[in-house]
Amino acid sequence: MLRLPSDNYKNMISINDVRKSYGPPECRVEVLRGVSLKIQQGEFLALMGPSGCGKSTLLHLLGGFDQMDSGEIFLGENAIHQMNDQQLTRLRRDTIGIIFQFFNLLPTLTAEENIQLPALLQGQSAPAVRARTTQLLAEVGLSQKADKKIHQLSGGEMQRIALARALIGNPTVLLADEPTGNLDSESSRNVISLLRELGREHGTTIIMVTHSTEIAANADRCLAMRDGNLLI
Amino acid sequence: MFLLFCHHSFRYFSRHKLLSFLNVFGIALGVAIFVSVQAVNHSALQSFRASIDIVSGKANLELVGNGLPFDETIYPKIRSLKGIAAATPLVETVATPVSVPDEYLQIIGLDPFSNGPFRTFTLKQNGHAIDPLSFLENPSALALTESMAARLHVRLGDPLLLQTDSGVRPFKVTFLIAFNEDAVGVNDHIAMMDIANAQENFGMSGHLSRISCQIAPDQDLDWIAQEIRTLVPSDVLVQAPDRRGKQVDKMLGAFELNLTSLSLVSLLVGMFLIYNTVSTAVMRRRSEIGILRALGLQAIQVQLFFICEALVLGILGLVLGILGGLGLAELLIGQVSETITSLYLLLSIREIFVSPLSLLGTAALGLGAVILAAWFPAREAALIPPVQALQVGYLEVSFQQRTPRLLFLALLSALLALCLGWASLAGGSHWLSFGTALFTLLTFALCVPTSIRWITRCLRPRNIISRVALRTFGSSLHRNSITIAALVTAIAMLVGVSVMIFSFRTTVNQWLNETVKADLFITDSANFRAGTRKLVRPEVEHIIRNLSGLETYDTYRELELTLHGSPFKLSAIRFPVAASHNLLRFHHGQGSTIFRRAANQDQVCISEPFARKFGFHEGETLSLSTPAGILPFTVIGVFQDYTSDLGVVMIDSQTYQKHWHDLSYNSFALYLQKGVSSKTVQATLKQSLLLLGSYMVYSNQELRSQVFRIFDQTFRVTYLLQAVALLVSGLGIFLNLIIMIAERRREIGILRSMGTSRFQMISMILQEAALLGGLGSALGLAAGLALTWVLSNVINIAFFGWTIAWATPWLFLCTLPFTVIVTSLASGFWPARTAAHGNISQAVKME
Ligand SMILES: Nc1ncnc2c1ncn2[C@@H]1O[C@H](COP(=O)(O)OP(=O)(O)O)[C@@H](O)[C@H]1O
Ligand SMILES: [Mg+2]
Repeated sequence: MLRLPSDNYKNMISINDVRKSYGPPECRVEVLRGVSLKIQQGEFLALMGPSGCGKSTLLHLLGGFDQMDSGEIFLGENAIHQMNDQQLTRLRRDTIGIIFQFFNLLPTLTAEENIQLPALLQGQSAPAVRARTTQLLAEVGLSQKADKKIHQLSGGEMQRIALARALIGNPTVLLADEPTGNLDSESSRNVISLLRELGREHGTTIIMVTHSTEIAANADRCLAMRDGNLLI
Repeated sequence: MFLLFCHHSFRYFSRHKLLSFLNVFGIALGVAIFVSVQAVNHSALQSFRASIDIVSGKANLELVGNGLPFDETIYPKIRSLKGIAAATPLVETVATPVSVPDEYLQIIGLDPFSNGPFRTFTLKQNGHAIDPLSFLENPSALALTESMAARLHVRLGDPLLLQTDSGVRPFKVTFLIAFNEDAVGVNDHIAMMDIANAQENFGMSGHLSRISCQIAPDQDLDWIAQEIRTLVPSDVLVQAPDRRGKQVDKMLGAFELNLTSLSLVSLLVGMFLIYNTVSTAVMRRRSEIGILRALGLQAIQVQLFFICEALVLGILGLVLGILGGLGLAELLIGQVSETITSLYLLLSIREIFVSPLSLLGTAALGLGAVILAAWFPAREAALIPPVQALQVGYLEVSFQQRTPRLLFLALLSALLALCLGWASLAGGSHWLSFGTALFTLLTFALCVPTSIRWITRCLRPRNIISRVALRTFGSSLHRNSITIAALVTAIAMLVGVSVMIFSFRTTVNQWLNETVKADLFITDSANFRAGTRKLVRPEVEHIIRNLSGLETYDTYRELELTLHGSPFKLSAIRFPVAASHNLLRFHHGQGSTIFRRAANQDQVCISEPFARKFGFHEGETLSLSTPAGILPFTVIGVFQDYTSDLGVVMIDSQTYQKHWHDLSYNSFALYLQKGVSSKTVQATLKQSLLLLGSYMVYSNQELRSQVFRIFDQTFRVTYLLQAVALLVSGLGIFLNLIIMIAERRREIGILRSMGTSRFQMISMILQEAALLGGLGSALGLAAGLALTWVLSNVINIAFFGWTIAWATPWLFLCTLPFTVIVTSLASGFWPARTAAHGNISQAVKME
């Protein structure tokens, strides 16, 4: 199990001089050029910046989806940059929740089953998972759509399912990569207010990437990124 | 526009190297099997034809004894006949070289004086051509083929000891036989000597095997043949030489048909592979298709394009397959040659012949198969409405909607199989029975999609990983159906043929128990390798008679006769001996009574294949040509027999000797008194026969194992063909999973991002592999059992007419699903590992 920061340990996440580049050696593109950042527990952080500046890359490194070239990322006392695949799997399963711009729900499962997936992977008991799913479905206002296949849902509904999925495992950190990028403004507001409320309710640290200043205004803190660097 | 698409497809190929390679490899394997079987079949015929031609290649009419050699006094009569331009007599026999008893020589005694106009060979001595008249200078002169001389380790001028009818005699290798260029593929067992020399040494004095004639250019062949028939006894056949070629065609027909139909299965499995690749290509590039269609590319152009793309891979596979097939044929040829020699006729295939025409045919068939397999998915691509092309899973959804229709088609195909089976048994063409087999296979293949849907609905695994695996499995209905259908076809063939062979083997074993009851058997060693052709010297019978511990003995004489242009075997045994041991199993009545009644009467028993082939029943009259003319014999019983699909007529030895005036035997069967050890008698016999020639003394047990050696050899080729069909469908599973992990890369990434471990990922994909293998083997087993039924009750009846009692190889059938599933797991491991090690970040970023 990951050790969670004690109350006096205020920095939930600390990122030190992280670098990441893509491509073969002869035409390497440096996407993150030494990013450093500290995020406090329970903080709602918005990350803004033009397309291609490396926001998703940073988020994926935080989630343990990819390996960085150099630098350090600490989640509490745990060094993500030193973890092997087994430890990273456990990190993704137990500590991180994620929402994508394109929802990334599994098309072969129903809405309900999609939500249950992370909890079942954690090994929670089936009745507990069912109860929690019902509760989350009610919280995102989709109780009627539990048995629907993914392609029968609208964009806003899909993202709310994705949000429920991200929360069912009780993550300490919630990563949201342009969660409203594919939604109309009505759905966007709906999803963001849910994100904010539920996040606060569970004391989750939230890092959200967005293009919209209106959305970013919901956050506790707002940071801008350009060309692989944070503008402070 | 088309160029643009070509560019696209080139990029697609180069991006999916492995996929393209596997596809080409699969097609190549299927084609290779087909080509090799065709080449072997063709070579067998060619080599036999060439051997006929070698001594009388330029004859257009010949006289052949029906079974026995005929009187040589016919020759001067024929020669002096008006309208005959040239005629030459021949004597043919088989001899064993003493130094290498495993080889045999096919001796041809020729007449150097009259043979000139017919020859298609030359005799050579130290590189110079020699006139065959030189045979007369040395009475022991012998000509060998170069390759045979090498195998016997003899050179020009060396002596060579041969077993003759008067004991071992030295001959001198005086010439080498060089064949003319047009006599390709001739049997290299051929050896030549002077005709008088051959007659004297091999018990043929005063007799000829054949007279080859050339008729004068202005004469009518049919008229002359008719003229000759009035001059010669009725047991001498007057026919055109190509008649024999046709007989061989007929004789080998069933055997070759068997191989050809099996080789077609591997081609069929290859077709499934192509179908799957093309439909994958269509699914993956539906957005490209949609854009191009929206830009104005016509539907037919899209279809044409995908077919062309498949053809590129197809042609590559075809070229490799043809080359590989020729190589494989080299490996198979020895096996097939041995089988044909021991079952049908003397044949030694040393070279592979491929007629360009048959290669062209194969190429056309292969390309046809590729086009047919690509046609439907390509049409699918063309029919996608431009807008829907951009939607995910259009093809899949449209296929899912069609599964009820496929089930209906399956029913239809089952019905068709029944109708065809009935038609072929009710007197229609034998070929219809293959239609029955084909539609039986098709029925099960068409049931696959419904079975997949059924299984994904009924199974409700609690484990989330298994549940996702099952859903993924069911959602790729189209692709999985094809893969499983290929597997079902291959397994059905494997099961069908295995159960059939097992049943056949069990039946033959029981039959041997009832038929082969003697304790010891004696025959010339050449008879076991070259079929029953050599005679046993009369001295052997004296030795047997004086043997202590003997209860009784039976004699065996076999002739190959012709009835209505088809060959069959006439076997003469001592009916009283057969009666006392209750030999053979008859349709009606006991062997003991039937044999006792028919002894020394003009009554015969016929084998089941004979009854079926020539349409005879008990009580009917069968006319056989004997040296004394055509005589009527009453059919007194029909017996089970598995020695020859040509058909056997069993006659009492006494009756045979009376009508055929032939006192010689091919082998003996000895029944010993109770309590006498067959081992001791066998040793004594071997000792005393040593001086007389290369005789084999087999015990009952040894004879059985000999029978099963020939039996297993006959079917060994079929096992190879089946193995390849399985290999190709295993390849199909591998290909399927490779495509699956590429198509589902995003989903795999999502699962990993939610915290699925590598181990769980691997287990998930292996579960899909196991589902493929499990469902494939379950349906394959069912289809196989159905096919067995068709094989034994329809095809066997239509073509061979053996009675086969069903025997189930339980062990094989029970272990088969495990073998298949383990193989699927093995072929799934690499794709599973690849999936588990993919980069998550890239997978979830994909759009
Ligand atoms: N797997 C990859 N290979 C090469 N380049 C990549 C890869 N992933 C991202 N990039 C590049 O890195 C840059 C940053 O990408 P990303 O982090 O997705 O940007 P964004 O800020 O829009 O989320 C982009 O220029 C993108 O082209
Ligand atoms: Mg991004």
